[in-house]
Amino acid sequence: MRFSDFSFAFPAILSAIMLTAILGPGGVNSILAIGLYNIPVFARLTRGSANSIWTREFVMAARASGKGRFRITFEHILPNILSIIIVQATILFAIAILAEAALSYLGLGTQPPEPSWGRMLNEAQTLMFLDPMQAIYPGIAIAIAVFGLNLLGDGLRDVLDPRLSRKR
Amino acid sequence: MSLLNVKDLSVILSTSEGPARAVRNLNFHLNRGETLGIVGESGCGKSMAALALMGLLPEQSETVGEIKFDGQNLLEKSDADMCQIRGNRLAMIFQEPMTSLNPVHTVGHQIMEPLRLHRNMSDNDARSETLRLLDRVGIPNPKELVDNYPHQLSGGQRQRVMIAIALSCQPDILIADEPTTALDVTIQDQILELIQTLVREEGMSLILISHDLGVISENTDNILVMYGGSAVETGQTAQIFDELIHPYTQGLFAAMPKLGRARGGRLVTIPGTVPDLISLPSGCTFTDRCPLATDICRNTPPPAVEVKANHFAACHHIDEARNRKTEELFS
Ligand SMILES: Nc1ncnc2c1ncn2[C@@H]1O[C@H](COP(=O)(O)OP(=O)(O)OP(=O)(O)O)[C@@H](O)[C@H]1O
Ligand SMILES: [Mg+2]
Repeated sequence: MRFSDFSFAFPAILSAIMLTAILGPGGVNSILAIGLYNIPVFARLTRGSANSIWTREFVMAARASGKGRFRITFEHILPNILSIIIVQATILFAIAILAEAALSYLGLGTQPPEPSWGRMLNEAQTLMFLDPMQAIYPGIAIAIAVFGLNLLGDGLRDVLDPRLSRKR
Repeated sequence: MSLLNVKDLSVILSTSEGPARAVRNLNFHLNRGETLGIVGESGCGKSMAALALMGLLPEQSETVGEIKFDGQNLLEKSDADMCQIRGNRLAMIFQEPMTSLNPVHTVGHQIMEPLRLHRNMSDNDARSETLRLLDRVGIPNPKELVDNYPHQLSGGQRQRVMIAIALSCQPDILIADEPTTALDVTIQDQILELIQTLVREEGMSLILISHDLGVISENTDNILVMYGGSAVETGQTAQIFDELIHPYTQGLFAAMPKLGRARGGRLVTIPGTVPDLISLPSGCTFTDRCPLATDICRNTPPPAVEVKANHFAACHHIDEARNRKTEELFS
């Protein structure tokens, strides 16, 4: 949790740049940098939402029926925070795509000949006025991917929450 | 020997303002098949006492004394041992049926859990037992309801489901902590009657917690009146209602609206509010609100005096309390 406090002090892209600067540019390294940055975000979220579920009455009722901490964690706490975690995962997935694009744009991410939307944007920059479509297509691709993932998150939450899914 | 014997039970909660004694030196016992009512105002420690029996108190708390259940002291048991007892031999129903069921599991799933956990039933057996239990607690269409989620049930139905869960392993003692407070009046009576019937038919003992003297008087054999964490009066229900002794019990009874009371007759209120647990006097906890209080009350805890056979009251001024009319005490 201390480490997560540290990582919250820096914006996502900045710390990813920092890490790739330390590890050196490259596809795998930028994935590591973005992934490592997201771990504490999940740790925070999981701990916070799990703690709030632990104080709920049905947890007390489950304990009163003789369940141990381990069983309660997996049978009562996890199902109740799963939708939050999944939604967060899709949002962070979208943010990670943006971060990768940014890293590649700066030349810290995927190296040629591996293709990358971010680097496409970078290379299209010089040709911006000759052939603007070269910049627009990867831009649209990034936007659609991010938007799609957000929609996926919303959809999953509706499916996973019995209170919402029944009402439709 | 009694099924449950509680001796000098105290619960000390650590709060930011210091230790708070939510339960002080509670003594009571419960025989097989008997019902005990615990009554008292909100905040007097009824739930804390019940949770202490179950071993479910919050972590920042300390429990001292002795809880002998079937010859074994529950306070000396490990958490793993308590898991074997909870839900199996000691079961509890809570005040809030709306939130006591897990919203992400079906009703059937939640009733089947203790059956699988304590009675090692197969899925099929557990399912048919679940249907039987739902029928038992008066759910009209168990087959349809069993696959529903809690939010699709009414409050009364949910409380019936909670009762089915509590009953599932045929416990020796059922603790019902204000099982009807959150329900409307017509449903309240049905639920209380259901609990009564089931307790009698299964031969269970019942600890019924309520702040409603009416509920307690109709449903119990013995009563324990609590104030500020301590027991102020105990005895057989009929005996206590025959003569209320402790000034607090008298006030509590007089504050209760009664059907058929002459119009214009006034309800009594006990002056003051429930005391802050941290700054309670070292003597009688009722001192600050008691019309009979003197210096001795503040500093010396009153002993429980056996006024009549098995009817105890903890008060320094028992004779005076008995001689005065309630209306004189609280006017
Ligand atoms: N977690 C806690 N930390 C500190 N104090 C607490 C905690 N829970 C309860 N208390 C205090 O303990 C006292 C007894 O509470 P308890 O819940 O046993 O009352 P009760 O008699 O069950 O009341 P009610 O009729 O409202 O259910 C209260 O004064 C309350 O403020
Ligand atoms: Mg309570």
